[in-house]
Amino acid sequence: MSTPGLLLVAAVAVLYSGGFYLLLQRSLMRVVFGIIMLGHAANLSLMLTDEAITLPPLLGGPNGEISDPLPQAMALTAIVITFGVTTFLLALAYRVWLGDNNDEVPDDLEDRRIGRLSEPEDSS
Amino acid sequence: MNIDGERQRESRGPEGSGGAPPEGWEAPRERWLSTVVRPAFGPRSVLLEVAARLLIPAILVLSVFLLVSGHDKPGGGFAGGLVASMAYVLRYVAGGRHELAAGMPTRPERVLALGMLVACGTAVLPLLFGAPLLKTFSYEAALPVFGDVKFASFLVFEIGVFLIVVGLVLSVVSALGARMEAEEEEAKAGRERARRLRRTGGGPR
Amino acid sequence: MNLLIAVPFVVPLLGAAATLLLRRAPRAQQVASAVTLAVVIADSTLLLAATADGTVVASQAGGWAAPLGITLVVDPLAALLLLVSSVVLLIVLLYAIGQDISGLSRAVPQVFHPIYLVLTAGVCLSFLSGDLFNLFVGFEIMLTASYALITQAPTRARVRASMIYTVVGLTSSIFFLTGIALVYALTGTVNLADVAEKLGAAPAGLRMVLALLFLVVFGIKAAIVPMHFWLPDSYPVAITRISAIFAALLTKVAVYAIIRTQTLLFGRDDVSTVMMWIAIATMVIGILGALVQDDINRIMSFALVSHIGFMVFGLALNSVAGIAGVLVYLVHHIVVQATLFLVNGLIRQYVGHTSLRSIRGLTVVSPLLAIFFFLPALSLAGLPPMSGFVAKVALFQAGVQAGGWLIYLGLTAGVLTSLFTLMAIFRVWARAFWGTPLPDMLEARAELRRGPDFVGRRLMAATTGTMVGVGLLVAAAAGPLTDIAFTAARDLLDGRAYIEAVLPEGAP
Repeated sequence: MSTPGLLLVAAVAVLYSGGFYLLLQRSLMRVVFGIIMLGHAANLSLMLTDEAITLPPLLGGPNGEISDPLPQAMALTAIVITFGVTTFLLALAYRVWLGDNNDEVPDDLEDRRIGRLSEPEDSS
Repeated sequence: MNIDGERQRESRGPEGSGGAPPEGWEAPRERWLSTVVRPAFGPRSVLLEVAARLLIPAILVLSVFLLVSGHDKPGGGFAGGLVASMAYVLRYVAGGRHELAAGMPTRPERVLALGMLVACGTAVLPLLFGAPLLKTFSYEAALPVFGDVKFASFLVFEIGVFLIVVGLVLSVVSALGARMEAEEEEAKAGRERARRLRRTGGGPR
Repeated sequence: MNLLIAVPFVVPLLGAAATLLLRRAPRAQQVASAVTLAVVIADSTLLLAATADGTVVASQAGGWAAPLGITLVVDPLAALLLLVSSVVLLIVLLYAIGQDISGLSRAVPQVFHPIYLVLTAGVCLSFLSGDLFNLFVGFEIMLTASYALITQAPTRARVRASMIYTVVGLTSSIFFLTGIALVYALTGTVNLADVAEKLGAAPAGLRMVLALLFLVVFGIKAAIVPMHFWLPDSYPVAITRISAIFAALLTKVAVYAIIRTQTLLFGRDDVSTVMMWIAIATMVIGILGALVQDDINRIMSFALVSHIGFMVFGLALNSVAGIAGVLVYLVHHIVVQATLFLVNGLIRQYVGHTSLRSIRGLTVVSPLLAIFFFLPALSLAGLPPMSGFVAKVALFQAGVQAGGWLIYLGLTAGVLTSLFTLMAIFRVWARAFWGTPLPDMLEARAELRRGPDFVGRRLMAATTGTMVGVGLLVAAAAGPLTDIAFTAARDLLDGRAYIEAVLPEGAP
């Protein structure tokens, strides 16, 4: 009863796949959402490492059993980090939007120039 | 905590809209609700403002409770700091960026720096006495009102963390919330100008 | 010893707090940052002196014994890298101060100093950390600081580049976190020494998956080839001091993490075939990228990618000589990359950009600059008697010793890459340094000479010169350096010294 069920595993799978799908989109807002989902997925998989995750940490459940506090501490740290960086990403996305009035990831001009080098010379 | 006192009157300055505020003996000593509210989102909501006014002291007390109880119970500097900064975020949501600026005790970077100094200082101090990094010492004392109190040096570290979190959230709110508001107004004006130029055909081809 | 081990990351954090408080006093801020880094250099010298004979020292934070508490470990590898990194960090800081004094940069110094010191703390913590999760925290401190630094003096291109940089960095962090979760589920611990002991009991297939996962995690950050696209896209766009320090240190910290995890944790498993192929691809594809570029900064970024391949090559040999070669290469490459990017910053003074299309005759404009570029560039290509030659010879010798067709293929790729590097450098030399200078470049020089910011520019030139000197010093000190590298490599491949230092009473 106290082991994490299949549902949690399925949730992690859905979060990972959804996160990576969103990460590959062109729109910056979707990329940010993808990062958020991936962060949740990683934190949930940290939770999955403990079989007794449904028990309370430190204070003890009915029989004095506790869950392993270490994954929770690690997840907390990771949440703080992802939270901080996500706010930063949002600010960046906002800046891109301010500059371009859309939130797509722009192309690199130098890359495009070099891409043209491989095209055949003027065919006229 | 005096949230609508002196500072607020200072911050009124050029923002004081409408007629001149009563002066001399007519001027109220301290307003219970702010008069210079310009909410960040939507129209001014009196309900939210009153709720914020009532809640903020309670939230701040709770944050200190969390900070102190964190040694061997749930809580700690991080949770306490987050709760405390939520009080300020509430104030920002209710009153806009000027209210936030009026409510801050000092510049957020300074809070952040102070927290880092306190936290790192406590982490290093044991090293100077030959103990390992972050080693904690605790004393127990019987105080008249509080009964037996255990004071661990870890609490000082937690206070540092508390300050770091408050400083960080406040600087994020003031950088992302308040500065963005100003920038957005600027950008909107710029786009407006560009559109006008295009309509009149005066722009570069 | 506890104190010595803690200093490299606690003092920069204290320094960051101090510089934040001193934001109104720029001169005091500059002095505080420089003093902080000087303290770190002194401390890492002491650490290196204490560990040069191969001793490994562990320090347990809070007095909690190893698998429970936070462990900081210093071994010859960590000490060596700490020393080199802190020297480079200080020199780049002085260069930045010179830039700020001369008013040539649009960076905000009040913001730069604290974040730079936080970056230093992250780098040092990554080198010293004795457990996997702390390694993650060290990486995150370093990366978060770098996300903030890369947007300094924001332009449209920089915001775009930093977006890509941040998203890629975050993705690899999430992989890292997943890897930590898997390791913890498998062994019940994250302490590196303890994990190394307990992984032995794990199924071999699972171990292999973890080894490859960690290779991907750090490979993204080190920009090894299938995962390198972000680097030439983001580093060249940042301002000089930032791209110099990123190119010098950030990828090398990831290489350090690859060395640490692949030797200590996954030493039993053989991923060397995969690594050798990666190394070959990294060397060749990176340098071919450099050959078609038109911008000096981008050429150097692609060269950076390709030379990471040399380090992976040495690691894939999985021998003492190979890993010792990697360490020598690491030291050489940190110094040389930083120098080249600083020189590019000096070029920007005259033309405002680093595109080869409109730079001519830099030798005429500034002969000193030409020397500053020429020496490290030859070192990068690996010509004798520069440090790059020493490092490459060490690597190639180790390769020949190991033998085998794949390794010979790798050696061929390495020699070809060196030749192509030389070609890329001579392309830069021929187009940017030779010829008659463009009139506006001479004008810019005249204006700079007349300008009131002479002190700052002198400082910039002096620090770049110092960096060139450090590069020559690496070549001159090749003997002792190789000795330390061999000691460190023996420690790494053996692993017992590390585990015994962290867990004196054996694993629980």
